[in-house]
Amino acid sequence: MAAEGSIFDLGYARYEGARLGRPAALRALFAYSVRAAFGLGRGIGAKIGPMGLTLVVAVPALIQIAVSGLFRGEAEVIRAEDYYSYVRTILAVFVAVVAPDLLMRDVRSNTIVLYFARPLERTDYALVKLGTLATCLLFLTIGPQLLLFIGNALASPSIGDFLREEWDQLFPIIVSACVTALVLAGVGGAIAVQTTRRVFAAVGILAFFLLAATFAVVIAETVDAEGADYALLASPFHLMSGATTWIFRAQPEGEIARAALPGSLYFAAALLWAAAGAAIVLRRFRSLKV
Amino acid sequence: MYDGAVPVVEAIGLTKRFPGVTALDDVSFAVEPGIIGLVGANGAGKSTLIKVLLGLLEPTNGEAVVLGHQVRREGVRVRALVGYVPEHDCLPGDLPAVDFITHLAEVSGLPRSAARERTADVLRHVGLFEERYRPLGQYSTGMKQRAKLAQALVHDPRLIFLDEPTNGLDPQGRDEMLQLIERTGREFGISMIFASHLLGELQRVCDYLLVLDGGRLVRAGPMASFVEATGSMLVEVDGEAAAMVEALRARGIAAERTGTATLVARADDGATLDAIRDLAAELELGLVRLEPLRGTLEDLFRPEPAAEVVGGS
Repeated sequence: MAAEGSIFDLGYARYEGARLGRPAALRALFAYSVRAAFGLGRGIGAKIGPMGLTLVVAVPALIQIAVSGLFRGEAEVIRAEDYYSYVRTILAVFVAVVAPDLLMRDVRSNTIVLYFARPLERTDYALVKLGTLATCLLFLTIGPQLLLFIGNALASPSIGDFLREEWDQLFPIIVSACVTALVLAGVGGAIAVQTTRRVFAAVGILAFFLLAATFAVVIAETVDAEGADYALLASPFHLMSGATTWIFRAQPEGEIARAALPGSLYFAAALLWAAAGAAIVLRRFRSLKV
Repeated sequence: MYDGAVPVVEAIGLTKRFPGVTALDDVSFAVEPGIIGLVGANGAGKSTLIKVLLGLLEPTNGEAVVLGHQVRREGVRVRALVGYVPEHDCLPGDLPAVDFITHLAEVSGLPRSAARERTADVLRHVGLFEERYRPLGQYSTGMKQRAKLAQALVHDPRLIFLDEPTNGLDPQGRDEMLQLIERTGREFGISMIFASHLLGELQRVCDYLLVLDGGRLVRAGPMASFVEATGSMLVEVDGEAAAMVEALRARGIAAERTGTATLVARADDGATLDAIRDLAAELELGLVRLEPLRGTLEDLFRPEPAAEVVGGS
């Protein structure tokens, strides 16, 4: 029986071609990570969660398009500024499913040492992984919103009139999608890197988003003390809602309206949370023992 | 230190302290291109030294220069030029070798088409071409070690660090890996720093040796200097060696018994050889073996023998 993996040396050759440097290396890592996040190049099990959630997130947009089509654009069941309130839990589930694998899979398998031994810094790796998570979330936030916008345009009596009236919605759509993606990625990433156990990280991420929202509302609505409303700033979900409402210059609703905090405060706090989350992720990878 | 050529790796006073342990203690050396062995018991500091030279660990004190670049300041530049074969498991189980190694080639800066081509070449070189589409998790230990070597070679480095590359391999696998390492180093001009606690494999493939013990560099030099003739003769007789030892000493030749029937005479000149022959005849002892005593790497870790007392009161 031939020895397993016998050497059939047909000649090793030196490489004299182009070496593209660090930017190309980071692009390669980014592209690979985005594919891995959606399970591409891996088994069916790795695809079901991310792909399924991507479809679910688009459901409100599809409903609105169907309604618009039926009523020729005269009925607006789902407005752009309300979109994330319908899908925020789905987005949190997406983070819980994707972030632990995206950020900690290489640590779990010790593959991370092969990356750190390559021409990039530890912070490069961390930022690319976090950027991948934010990019995936951007796809899930901007994608359905643009679908909604285009769908409404096509369903309207006059596409030209629709675009003339609604083109100024595009900027808030993009900015609110970015803020939402950054908050979810920063907070989810910071929790994901605390453990290599995927289940613990997933439960931790979901629990944090849901419990923070619950406690924030309980404190803001029931505690009769000055400053209790600021508890909403501790809830990523409420930061997303408040920032989105402010970006769209829309009328606040629910506990955001009752708290009467400046909208810009939600926007600033959202960016701060995203930055703090990113700092935690960077620190984790910088101090990782390999 | 070698004379002449530019060092491929230079360490200047490298020290690495962890809480409660000093893993490297003022290590200084300079080595030329070639296959350099790094030997020491478990915990001697071999892996720590490799990680410091790669820039994976920051030294507490001292400097490292690899291929002319200071590791502290130019870590990224250094890692573009070197490869690393880690000691422990580090391959993702669900990816085929060809996909994963192509990806790592791209992360090392190769364009996509070159990365694919180089991956096929190195997998062929290490003997995994036929298994390249199998998931890495299905590989045997030997195949995984080869895959690790392939990812270290794919970007055509000038220097490779190998940390216990024959760990977990059976004798045939060990032999094949050593052949691969030797061929890669000698035929393709890729320098290697090869850490191992197994003296036999280092003696087989290395040109130069760094000996670590408790984080300190206790000895460094060409392999030949560790295994050269010692200027002594090993003598084996077919009787008690004690009488021969006493007789040699009576003639002013230093000698020690090393076993019931073996002894070492601390001289190898013609007069000593004649004395051994004559005394063997006088004492009616058959001479079973008479050969120059060469050093072995085991001598590095053998404690000094106590003084031998031969004969009666």
